[in-house]
Amino acid sequence: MTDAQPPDPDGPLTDRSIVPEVAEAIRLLERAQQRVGAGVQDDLETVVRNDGARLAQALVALLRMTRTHDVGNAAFERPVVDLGVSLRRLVDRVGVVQLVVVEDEVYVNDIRVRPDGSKDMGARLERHLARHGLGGLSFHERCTPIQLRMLVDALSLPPSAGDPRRAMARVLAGRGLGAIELHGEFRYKMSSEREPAVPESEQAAGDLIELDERASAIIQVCWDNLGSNRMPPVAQVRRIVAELVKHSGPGVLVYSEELPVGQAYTAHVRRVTHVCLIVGRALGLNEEQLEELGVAAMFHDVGYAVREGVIMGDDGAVRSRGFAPPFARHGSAGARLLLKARGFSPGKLRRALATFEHHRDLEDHRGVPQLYGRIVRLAEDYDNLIRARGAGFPPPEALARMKAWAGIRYDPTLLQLMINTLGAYPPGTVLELEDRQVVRSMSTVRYPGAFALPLCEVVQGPDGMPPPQPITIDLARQGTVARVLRATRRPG
Amino acid sequence: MTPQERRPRGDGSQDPAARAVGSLARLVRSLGLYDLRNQAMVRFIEQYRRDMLAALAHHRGLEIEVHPFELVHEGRVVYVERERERSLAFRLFRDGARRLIIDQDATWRELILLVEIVGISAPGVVATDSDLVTRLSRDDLPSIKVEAVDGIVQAETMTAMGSAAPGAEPAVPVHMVVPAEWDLPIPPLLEPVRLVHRGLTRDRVEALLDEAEDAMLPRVGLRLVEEVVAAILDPADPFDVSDAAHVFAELRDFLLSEGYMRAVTRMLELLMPLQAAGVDGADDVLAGFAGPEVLDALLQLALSPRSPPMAEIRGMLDALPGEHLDHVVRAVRSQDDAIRQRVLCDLLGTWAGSHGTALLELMPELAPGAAERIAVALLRRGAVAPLRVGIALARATVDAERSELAARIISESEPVADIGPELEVLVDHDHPAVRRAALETLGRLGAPASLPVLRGAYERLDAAAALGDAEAVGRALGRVADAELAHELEERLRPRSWWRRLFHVPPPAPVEIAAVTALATLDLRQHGRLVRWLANSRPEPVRSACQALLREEGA
Repeated sequence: MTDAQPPDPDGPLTDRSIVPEVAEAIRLLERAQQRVGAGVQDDLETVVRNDGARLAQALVALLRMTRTHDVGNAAFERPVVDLGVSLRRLVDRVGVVQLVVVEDEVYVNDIRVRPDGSKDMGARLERHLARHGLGGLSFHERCTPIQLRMLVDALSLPPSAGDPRRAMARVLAGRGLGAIELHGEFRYKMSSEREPAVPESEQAAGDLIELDERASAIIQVCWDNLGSNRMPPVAQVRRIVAELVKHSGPGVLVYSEELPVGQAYTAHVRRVTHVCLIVGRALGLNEEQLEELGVAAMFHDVGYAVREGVIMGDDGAVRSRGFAPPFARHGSAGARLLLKARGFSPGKLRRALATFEHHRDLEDHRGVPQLYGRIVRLAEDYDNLIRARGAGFPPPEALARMKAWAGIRYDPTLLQLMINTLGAYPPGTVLELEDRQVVRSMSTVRYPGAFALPLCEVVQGPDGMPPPQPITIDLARQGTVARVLRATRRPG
Repeated sequence: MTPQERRPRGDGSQDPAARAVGSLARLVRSLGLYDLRNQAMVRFIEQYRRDMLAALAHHRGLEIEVHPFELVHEGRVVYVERERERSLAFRLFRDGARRLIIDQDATWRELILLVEIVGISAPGVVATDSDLVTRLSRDDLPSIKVEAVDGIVQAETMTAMGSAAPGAEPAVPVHMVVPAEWDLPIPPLLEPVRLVHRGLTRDRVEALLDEAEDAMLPRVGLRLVEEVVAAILDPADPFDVSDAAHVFAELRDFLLSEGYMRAVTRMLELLMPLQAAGVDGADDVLAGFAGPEVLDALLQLALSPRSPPMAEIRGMLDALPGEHLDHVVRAVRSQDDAIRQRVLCDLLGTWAGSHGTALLELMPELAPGAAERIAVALLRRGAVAPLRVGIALARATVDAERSELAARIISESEPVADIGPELEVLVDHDHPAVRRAALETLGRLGAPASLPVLRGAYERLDAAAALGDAEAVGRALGRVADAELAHELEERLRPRSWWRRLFHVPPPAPVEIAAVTALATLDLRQHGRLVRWLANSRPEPVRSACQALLREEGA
């Protein structure tokens, strides 16, 4: 090109001087594009559009064929293979494959797909799914041809009376198709509609206990999802962790309760998450780092949800649901689950590594565990020492016994930070005061001078009776600790 | 920009808010269409910055209501796009955003992050850690707030997809039982130690905080690779390559895109044991490191301002499976930018010791500067005869400086057997120094096979030919000429028969000079008489040329 020629307005940038602000924007946006594109060799959107269309088309074709043929018929072979190939390609690229029909339009992972020569495919698919109260399916892993035949067969069954969607979920679970998630019908919400009234649960979002309950529900869903070979619902977990980060201040409550195993597990995960956030906040992690740490903590024990030794029958149905991995391998099993998610993110790396390392000693022969692994280790051991089905120690004793392993099992700086923050009487410690009152500590250390002087709620008055109304006392102002009690049950 | 984007309902087009939102939408949509360094993109970014800052100043911040297809500011529609896949409004609405608030004092960095979140990070097809609303709620966006409801609605329940609202239908029909003895037994315990508050030094805390920084990600990633490889190699662990192949690819690409090349090669080392153990799928994982994207990233690293030494990049290339010279050669060939091609040639030069011939063959296709880099590398390594290097460089260039360099290399190099045909090509080179060096070297070679070429060069001389060329042709010709040619040259200069002399028309000066120089070079004693006659009878510049030849003989 000679100097006389005008520059191509859409050509690459060469000599043009760029203002620093634009250069900064280009740098940041390029970096974001590269990160999003990590591990993806093709134009992902195109792949999803093409394979998504084939997936939907094959599914519709198979569902139509069930009107005239049995699913065992050889005529199903080819479309089942097509369906399986498309699904495999999609799962390998994007992890969870979500196929949704909204108002006759088919979306695969939010990309609208348009099959060749079949204008009414969306309407047909919608009709097939709507019979069972369904608006879409999510495939959390690849399916074998037998599994796909079973899915098609299940969808071709007459809808159950009552709650057809729930019935379909039961049918799929019984056929070992738990990794296929069912969704209700979707529609677009129009701007003319009024927002539904904010539920009480959301109004009370600032209430940490209520938030804890929602976190418990999420943990349970996670557990069940992962146990059914579904992908970890990381975005959901992150959202609740973000709320915990925003709402959990220094006064966070950490109780040890006697609960049935399932609930005790969710309570354990919740408490480990809280303690991690307390240590992380004391360390000075920023909000995003705290969220990553919190998500790592929420997932640290998911390895127990894995089932090894699952036996499948020749028909593809589950004969034996297998068993959880042993303690020594639950970290690896958890990491394997977490790594199933597609797409690069720093959080994914950190939480998978934390899951691998969260029972490792500081002096482990494989090297010092990374920061999040060391923090989760502290929180994990602390909770295992205080929870009723663990060692059952009062919180101060748990901390004091951990302190004995500083520098060998635990990072000494992080442990001291944890001690400095939780105090001599960490939240949840039941204390008898010299005046015979029984109180439960409910605050972390407010200032160094109050290391052994937390805020407490009165559990029993001097007369041995619970107070008629909640009473809070500040040991920095009144009361002297006589001894630490083992009783850990939460009042009420 | 679609017609719908251009014509928002109401009188929004003159409104700074409408212009700002329109610029944001255009930039977001263009991210998927153009390279960021495209001039059009630069214009869009500049426009976005100008419009957004103007709107924030004019309205003292923006508070945008999000509707399915419209964005509304202060009750006026400032953006409308009904095509769902193109619509910024639909993208925001779909992800649950209902109101977007940008404070007047939003920084440029925050405004870029807004573009990144809306245009790059959030609309990913792959389910990632955080959605649009979570990312817009980050604490590094203090001046941008989002009000949101949960996602796409389900028709009958109005709850978000897969939400775990208390009391909702269980998402999974099978309830998994938690093992009762999880995390047990408790590890051995020691006697309790008294708890005291101890202050921590800033250094110790900061060292820990550093570990949480993004700069530590390569280390985290490599550690994870180590763990995964150990798990895969553990026969008791069901972990296999298919569980992690995509993670390896993602990490590899991340490291490449961020320029952590040493970490890439370390990662490769960590993965090698999988191949050594014959693990299924290991070959595919390792092959991913020899793919064009990896090599291209390495080449990009070589081109970056913070490029490590070429020898180190070469070391990384060598660590990758396979032979990569061809890829680098292709990259060099396809590189239009001369400066970048030169840098890649420096890398290519690291192959000079082992693949000199291949590099020689490539040189004539390169820009002069790039070819020079290779020439220098080849000369340093000494694996190829310098004369061949000079010839290849000469074939690569008509540029004066490099042509002179090539000519010098050719002139100063020892002759090489069978090099004649390559030199003969240069006899007609555009640069005189190269032509003369080639002629001179052909003369030194003295190969009779070159005679037709030299003769051709002689016959192409005319009145306009440079005297230097004529002299060079003559000297070369003189070294390979036979008696027959000598006789022909004599006849051309001064026919022997008297009656021919009557009609003899002297050839142009360059031809005369070439001929006399050839004869003098062949045997001045035999042809001295003729040379002297010419020196006395011919006008300039032939006279001077002959006198010079006689002086040489005298010396």
